[in-house]
Amino acid sequence: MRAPHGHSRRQFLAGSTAVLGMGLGRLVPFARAAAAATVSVAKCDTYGVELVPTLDRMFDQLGGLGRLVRGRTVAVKLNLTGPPTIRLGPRPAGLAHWVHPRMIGAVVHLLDRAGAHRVRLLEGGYASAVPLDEYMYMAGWDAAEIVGAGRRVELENTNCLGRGGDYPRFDVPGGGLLFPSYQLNHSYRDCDVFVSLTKLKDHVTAGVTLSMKNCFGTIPTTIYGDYCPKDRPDERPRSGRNAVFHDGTRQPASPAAPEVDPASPRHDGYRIPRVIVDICAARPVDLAIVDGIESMGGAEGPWGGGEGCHPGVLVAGTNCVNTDAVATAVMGFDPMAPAGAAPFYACDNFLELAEGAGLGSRDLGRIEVAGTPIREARFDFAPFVRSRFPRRGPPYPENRS
Amino acid sequence: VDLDTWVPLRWPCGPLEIERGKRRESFTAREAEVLRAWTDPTALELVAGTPVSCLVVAWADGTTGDEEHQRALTPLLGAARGRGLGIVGWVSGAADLRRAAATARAAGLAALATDSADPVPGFDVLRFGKRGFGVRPPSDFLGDLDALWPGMRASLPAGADAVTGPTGAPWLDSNGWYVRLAHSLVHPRTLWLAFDPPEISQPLPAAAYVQAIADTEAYGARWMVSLDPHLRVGLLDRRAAALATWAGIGMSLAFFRRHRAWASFVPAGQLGVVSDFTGANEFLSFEVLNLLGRQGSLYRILEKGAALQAPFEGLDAVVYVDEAPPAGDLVRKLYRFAEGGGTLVTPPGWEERGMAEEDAWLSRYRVFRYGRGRLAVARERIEDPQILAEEAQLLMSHRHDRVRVFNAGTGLFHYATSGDGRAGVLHTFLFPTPYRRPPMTVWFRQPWAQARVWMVDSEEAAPVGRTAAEPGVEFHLPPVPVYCALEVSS
Repeated sequence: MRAPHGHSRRQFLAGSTAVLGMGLGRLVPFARAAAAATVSVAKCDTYGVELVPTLDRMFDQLGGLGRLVRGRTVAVKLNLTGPPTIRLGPRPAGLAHWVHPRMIGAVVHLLDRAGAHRVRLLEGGYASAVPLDEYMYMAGWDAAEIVGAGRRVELENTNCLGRGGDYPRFDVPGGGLLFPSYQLNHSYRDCDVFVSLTKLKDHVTAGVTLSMKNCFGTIPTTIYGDYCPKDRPDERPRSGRNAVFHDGTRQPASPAAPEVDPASPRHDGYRIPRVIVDICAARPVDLAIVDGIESMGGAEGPWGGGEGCHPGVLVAGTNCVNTDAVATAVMGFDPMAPAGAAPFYACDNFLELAEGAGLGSRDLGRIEVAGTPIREARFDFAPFVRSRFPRRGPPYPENRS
Repeated sequence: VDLDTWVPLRWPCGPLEIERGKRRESFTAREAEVLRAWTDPTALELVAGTPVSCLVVAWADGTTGDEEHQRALTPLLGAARGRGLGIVGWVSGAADLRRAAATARAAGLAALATDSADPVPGFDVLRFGKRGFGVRPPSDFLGDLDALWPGMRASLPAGADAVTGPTGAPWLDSNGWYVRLAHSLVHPRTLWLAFDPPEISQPLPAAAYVQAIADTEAYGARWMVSLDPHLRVGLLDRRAAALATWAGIGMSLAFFRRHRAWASFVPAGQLGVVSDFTGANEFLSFEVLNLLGRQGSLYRILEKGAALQAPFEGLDAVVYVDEAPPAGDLVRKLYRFAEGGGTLVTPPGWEERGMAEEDAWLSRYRVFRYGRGRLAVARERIEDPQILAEEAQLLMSHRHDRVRVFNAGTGLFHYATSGDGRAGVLHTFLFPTPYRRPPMTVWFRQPWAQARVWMVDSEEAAPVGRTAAEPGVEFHLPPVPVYCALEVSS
C-alpha cells in the first residue's frame, strides 16, 4: 500500500540530493521551502479519563486519524529507552523517561477506532532481543492490557530480526549526512503508516528527545551494536550503539553500509543529530505524538541525572520537524537556536539539519499551532539542564574535533 | 563438635604456611612476619569480641615439616582453647590422615578438615571435596573446595575493568546456586565453603568481604573466612583501613548470626529445573542454575529421582534439562503439569501435544497450546546454558514475575519465604559502581503489608515506604551500599 505522506516527501527528498552533505549555510534556501503543517498542542493534566478525548480532539485538529490510518497497517515506534529495570528514583518509567502505558493504550484505541487494519507497536529494547511484551513485563507493565486496547495489535522488538526474515535497507534520500542507508527490522518496511510516539524530555547528547530523536531507537543493535562481529549481525545484542554512532570508533556489521565520510568529526554532538536526520529521512514519520504529561528534565533517562516533572502537555503533528519544533518551544527553548545554545548545548541543532534536508520547517512563524497556544502550554525545561549539567570547557562546536 | 554454631576463620601461621608461601612468587618478607606473628598467642586478641569461634590452621601436609609445625603451634592452640575457640586442623597433600588425627587429638584439636576420603575412626573429620554429586553419602557436613570468590573478578588483565558475560553485563560469580543445590540433594546440616581472596596487588576493599559473607550466609552456608595477605599485614601494623575492614567482617558475621531464622526460609521458586545433576548432565544443569540465579529467575530444584514425589504447586514452568527422558511416570506428571496450566520446556524428541502456536518467536522451540498450559519442545539439543536459562525464563514469561527489583544496577537477589508464608526476605547483593547509587524499588506480587530493610552495619532495621502497585506492592529503599535484606511480612 501507499504511504499517505511518504510518496511526495520521498520525491521531494530525491530532488534535494545535490545539497546534502554541504555546509548548513548552503542549505538555507531549501529550509525556506521545507514543509509546514499544523501542529496540535493540548494541556492534559493526567493519564486519566481526559486523555482519550484530548488526543481525539488533537487528531481532529490535524485532519482526523481516519484519513491517515483507515484500512492500513500502522507501525508505532514507542520511546522506551534504557533497560526496563531502571527508574528515576522511585518514579516508574512511564512517569519519567518512557511513554506512559496509558498513553500507548489511548493511541492504540484511537487508531483502532479510526479503522487501522493492524497496529504494530515497536521498540528496540535496550541491548536486548527479548520480545517486546516481555520487555514491558520486566518494567512492570501489563503488555496484555496494551495489546487489548485494539482489535489487532502486535508487539515487536525491532532491535533484532524479530518475526522478519531480513533487515530491509532504507536508503537516505540524497546519500545521507552520516550513513547512506540503514538496515532496520522488517516492521518499518511492512507498514503503511509510521507513527513516532515519544516523550517530551531533554537529551544529553541531542538537546531534546522528541519524535525525531525517538527514531534513533529504530536502529537494530544486532547490526549497529558495539560488540557485533564485522561480517554479520549478532542476533543476541549485548550493548547500545555508542561505538558506531556516538563515538564513530567502528563501522556497523555487514551487510550495513559504512558511513559516508570516515574522516568526519567523531564527536557525538556532530554525529547524533545527523543520524537522527538520516533515519527520519530514510523512514519518514507520518504522525508524531509527544507525551509531555509526566516526564523528566535534565536528561533522556535516569542514567543522565535529571529530575521528574509534570508539564501536563501533549503535542502532535503530521510533520516530525514541525512537531518537534513546536514541542521544543513548549519546553521553553528556541527551535532556531544555533549549535552550542540551549537546548543544543553540546551538539548541532538536528531541527536545523532536518530543515536543511527538506524534512520540514522549524520556523514557528510558518507552523500553524492548533489548540492551546505555545505560551499557555509552555513548561520550562531549562532549569533542569542548567542545574544538572553545568557546562565546562569549550562550548560546542569548537570542541567537536 | 557443634559445627552448626561455629564461625570459622582461616588462621594461617607457623612453619608449614611459611614454606607454602615461599612457593608463591608474590610472597613477601612482611607476609612471613605475619605468619610468624600469628603463631604467637597474643595474636588471638584480634578475634576477641568478634563472632569468630573457630580457627582453621594448617596441620599436616605430609612433609618433614609437619612435626615442627605442630610443635610451633602448641602455645597458640592452648591459648585458643582457653578463649573457647574451636581448632580445626587442615590436612592436605600426602599426609597420613590417621597419624594427623592422632597428633590432633593429642594437641586438643576439635576436628580435622581434609579433601581426603580416607577413613579415620574416632575423630571428627570435616570432608571437603570438589563439586559434584555423583556419590551422595548422607552427611551432616559438606565442604566445598570449588567455591569462588563472589562478585566481579578482581584479578583482571591489564586495561580491563570488568569481565562481561554473554548478556554484556559484568560477569558475577556467586556460590548461591551451588549451596542451594547441595542443600536440595545432600541435605547437609552444615555447609562450609572454602575460597580465598583473589590475588591482587592491594588490599581488597571492605565491601568485598561483606559480599563474600553475604553471598554465602544468605543461601544457608558458611564461609571459612580467609583474609588476603595485605589485610593480614595491615592488621599486624594496626593500620586504620585494615582495622576498619576487619570490623566490617565482624559486623557482617554478627549480622547473620542475629538473623539465623532466615536460613530456615524456603527459596521462592516458580521455574522448576529437573535434572539428575550428575555425570553427563552435570555441566549443563549446574550452569543453568548458576545463570538462572544470575538473571534473577526464581527457580526450584527438582532432582529427577525425587521429582515424581515432589509437589509442583506454585510452579509456573518446568524445564527438563537432561538429554535422556525420565521414566514414564515422571513424563506423565510433567505433561499433566502442562495440561493443567503450566509451561513445560523439554529437549528435542518429546511428544508434541496440543495446538501449535503460530506466533512462536523463539526459533529454537516448537510451542504448543496444551490443555490450559503450554508445551515447548526444543528443535535441537540446546547445549548453551545461557540460551537454555534465558529462553526457559522467557517461555515462562515475565508476566508471572513475583518480584522485580529496580535500580539495583549490577546485582543478584535471593528471595525466600517462611514456611507459613507469612514472612519473607529478599537478599540483595550489589556490586561496585563508580556512580552514585540511586534509591531502589522492589515490587512483590504478594501484597506484603510491611517491610523493613536491614543492613550489616546497623543493629536496627529501617522502615521502608510502601505503595500499592497492582497487582502487588512496591517498597522504596534508600540507596544500598553492598548488601541489604528486605524483610517483608503480611
